[in-house]
Amino acid sequence: MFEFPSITIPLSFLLILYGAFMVFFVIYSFFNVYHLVRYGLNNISLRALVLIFLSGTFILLLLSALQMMQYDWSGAVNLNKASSSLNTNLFGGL
Amino acid sequence: MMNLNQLPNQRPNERVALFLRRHWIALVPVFAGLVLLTGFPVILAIVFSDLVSRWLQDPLIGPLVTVIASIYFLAIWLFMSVQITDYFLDTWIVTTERIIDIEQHGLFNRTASELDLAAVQDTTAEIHGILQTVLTYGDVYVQTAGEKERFNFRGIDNPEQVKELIAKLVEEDKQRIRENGEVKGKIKSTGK
Repeated sequence: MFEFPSITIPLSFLLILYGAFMVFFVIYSFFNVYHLVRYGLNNISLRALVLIFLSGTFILLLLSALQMMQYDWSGAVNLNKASSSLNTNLFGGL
Repeated sequence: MMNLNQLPNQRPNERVALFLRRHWIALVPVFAGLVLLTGFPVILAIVFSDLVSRWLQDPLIGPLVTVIASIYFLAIWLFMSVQITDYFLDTWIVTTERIIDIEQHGLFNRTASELDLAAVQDTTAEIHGILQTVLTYGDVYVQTAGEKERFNFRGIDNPEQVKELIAKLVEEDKQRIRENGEVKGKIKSTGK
């Protein structure tokens, strides 16, 4: 089986990657809504579209946050030990 | 927000005759992509629910799967929203005096052009293929007099009726100009 080198990384590193994606997501979402509101035709479908987009975004972020809060992000992961954990648990049930 | 009663540079007595978007069929690939890309992982998660449950309880695999899944679904949601915004903001407005063509390309490119009806020389409606024939959508080309440029209404509903209405409005506008002795006939274009 493949083995990672003996390096320990904090689990919160995943949150940094996630945060970088969220910066991109927030900027694009802002411009998306801004363009709709600034240039869209003022009618009920525009309001419905903005509402659906914001609601969907809120639900996805809420579900993500609820799931993420279940984990202890202060720990660190040793890649060497993690590889054996991954080998055992990733597809162990199949 | 854009208001059809207050168009940019609205002229006295000018009223909106047509407000056009692409046919709804243009959104089908977007929604099909959304259903496939979100439905497939969700079905897999349901089929292998025991395994997914074990993954989520693992102190290493759980956070990893959660972060990847969150990024995946948010990215699909954002991509789909940008495509719908693009569809929603691509519009053509035909008034009693001019045609306004507004095209959104992605989030950061936008082109708005307008054309006086008096400059229109020819309009052509094109319907190609079984799908366009059955759903009655297609293209309308508006050719201007003395200009290489032409307006292209891509994938709109009822192109034949739109072509007829534009031809009628052009004739009425030209008649009005002959009666009033106005000087018209130019294309203005602005980009953002």
